[in-house]
Amino acid sequence: MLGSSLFKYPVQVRVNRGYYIKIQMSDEPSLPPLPAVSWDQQSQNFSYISRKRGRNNHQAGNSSPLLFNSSDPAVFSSDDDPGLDNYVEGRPKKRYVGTWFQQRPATDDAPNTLLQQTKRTLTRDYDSGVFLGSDGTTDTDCGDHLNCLKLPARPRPHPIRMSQAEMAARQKIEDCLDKGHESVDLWSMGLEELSDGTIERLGQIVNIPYVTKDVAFVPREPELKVFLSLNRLSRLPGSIFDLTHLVVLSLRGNQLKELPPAICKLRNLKQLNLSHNLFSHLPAELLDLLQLGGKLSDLTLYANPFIQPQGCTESLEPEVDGNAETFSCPGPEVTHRYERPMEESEVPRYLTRWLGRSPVQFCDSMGQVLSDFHTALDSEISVLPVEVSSNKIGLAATYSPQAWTSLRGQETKPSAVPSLLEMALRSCYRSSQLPDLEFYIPEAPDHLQELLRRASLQKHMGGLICSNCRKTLIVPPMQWIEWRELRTSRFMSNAREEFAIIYTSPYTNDASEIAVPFLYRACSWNCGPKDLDKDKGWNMPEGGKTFRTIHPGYF
Amino acid sequence: MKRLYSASGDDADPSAPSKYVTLVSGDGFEFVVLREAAKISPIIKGMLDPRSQFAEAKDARCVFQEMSGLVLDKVVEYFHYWYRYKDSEDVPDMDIPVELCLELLAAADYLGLDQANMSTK
Repeated sequence: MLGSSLFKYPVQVRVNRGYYIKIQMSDEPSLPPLPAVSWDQQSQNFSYISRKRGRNNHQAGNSSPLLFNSSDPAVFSSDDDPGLDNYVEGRPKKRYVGTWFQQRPATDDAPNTLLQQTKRTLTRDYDSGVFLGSDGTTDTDCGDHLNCLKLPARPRPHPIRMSQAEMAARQKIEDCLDKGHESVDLWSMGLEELSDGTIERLGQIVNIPYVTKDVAFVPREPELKVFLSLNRLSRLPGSIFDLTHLVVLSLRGNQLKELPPAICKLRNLKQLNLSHNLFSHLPAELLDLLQLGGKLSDLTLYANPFIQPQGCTESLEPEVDGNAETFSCPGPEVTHRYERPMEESEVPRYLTRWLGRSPVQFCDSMGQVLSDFHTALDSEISVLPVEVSSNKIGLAATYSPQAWTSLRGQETKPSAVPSLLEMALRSCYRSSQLPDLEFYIPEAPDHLQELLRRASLQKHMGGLICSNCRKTLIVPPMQWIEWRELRTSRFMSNAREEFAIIYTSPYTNDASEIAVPFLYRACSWNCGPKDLDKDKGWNMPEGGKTFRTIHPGYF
Repeated sequence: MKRLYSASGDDADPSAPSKYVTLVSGDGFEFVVLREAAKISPIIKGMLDPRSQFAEAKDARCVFQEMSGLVLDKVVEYFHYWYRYKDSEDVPDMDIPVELCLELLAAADYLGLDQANMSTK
């Protein structure tokens, strides 16, 4: 109420910017024009030229943070002026612009050298953060700075883009992960290449448990099934061999030439389909999965252009092996009867028998073949000579140990110590930067880069190991092929478990497909082929009585 | 020439070269190595061949300007590793740190420490 009565009189109201004006409430307040002054930060003075703020000159570097305020300086009048009491309109007042602590007494006229105004020049800041698309100067400006930072490295290949087919495959894999599907169906998707990153995701699959009332929760390991059939893959991603829960792997109808030895890491594999590829041989490590205790129970090998031993005759006579009658040609089913209780786990699903071995190929640490014999696994060969055979199959053994002795010489003894080159390569192989390592040796001769590239490729495929001692190796100094014959077994036991019967039948009925080539790699001379120690039989459990089955339904 | 040939004679000769050789790295580290172990490298073997007129052969001292002491240390370790295990069946692994692998790769290539040379000592 008091306020309203006050406003009937002309009052002095202090408004913005410190001006005292006299207003009538009935009138519109009229603000005086802003003074035509501007605060200059460099000189700490007013300038009456322009109201534009002066451009901050960063390069001078002499302005203290106190003076950096972007807003207009405060304008105030001296309220405590003693002349305020007898204030009359129109009296010129002292006006100050800026904060009170920036006002200097008139006596302090000592020149501040730091605050000397520098001449303003029109130069451009590099890191202004603002550039225009049409501004061509940015490229040339930055180029000068970057040129001196360039490392003397070789040009790197561009990263490979993911193909459409792989994108689709990745989408399917993500779907399977979301829904907890263990069967990953990548049939006939036109895949030409599959990267590690795509397959790696499958390692994270989690089994979604089936939960119902009154059923105890049982955690179960996922049983992954991957179907890559009918694609155009020429190489497998190494990460597929890290999927420990992989149970079914179908590679049927691809263009694979080599099965990586890392296959032996898939201990839970039950079903493996390799048919209709370009495999010329299999890794010796695959035999691990066929051994007693291995889970692999369904292996499909044909049709593949497997390397055959020279002189494999098609008409083979049955031979007597000890007391057991075995057949070296794809013979009929054989029955083994055991008059004792047996477990099914005592008999492997696949039985193999050693047939023969090719000569050994020797390499130096660079991968140059030194021996006369060359396995030439990359080329389109279909027949290799046989050096040592089991003499039970009509293989024409050549017995040419000259390659072995010519390298060893007469008096020197082969050493099991790996070369320093190989050891350094293995050390490189352990590095996580292996794919980039070849670019770090720009001035070295090309063969070292070739070796590093080879190591990188092998790591991508899952790595090579010595078939004998299981050490990782990069360039195998020795490799050779051993041929084996396969038979499948069937186990039967009567209800009272008094006796057991094992039927074995040939894996194939085609005589030209008996010998399956397995490639062995050795890390040193010690791990070379040991033909004399080889067990040349079928490794059936002892104590059985073997006879030829007249018809399979004998019991 | 005659004198040189006689110096390269059998080991019983009192003027036969010493059992040890000195390998010097680029940064001045010296390693005294068994001559027989160092001769696994065909390069060092050629340097130390008494029939050659190399200064290295006379002084039994090889300087490798381009190798650092760290790398030559590993190379020398390898020489003795090879010498120790060349005839044994069971060979333990020699540790090569990853940060040295590239330099050792180049050094091994330079010294010709290849599998083919390993087998024929």
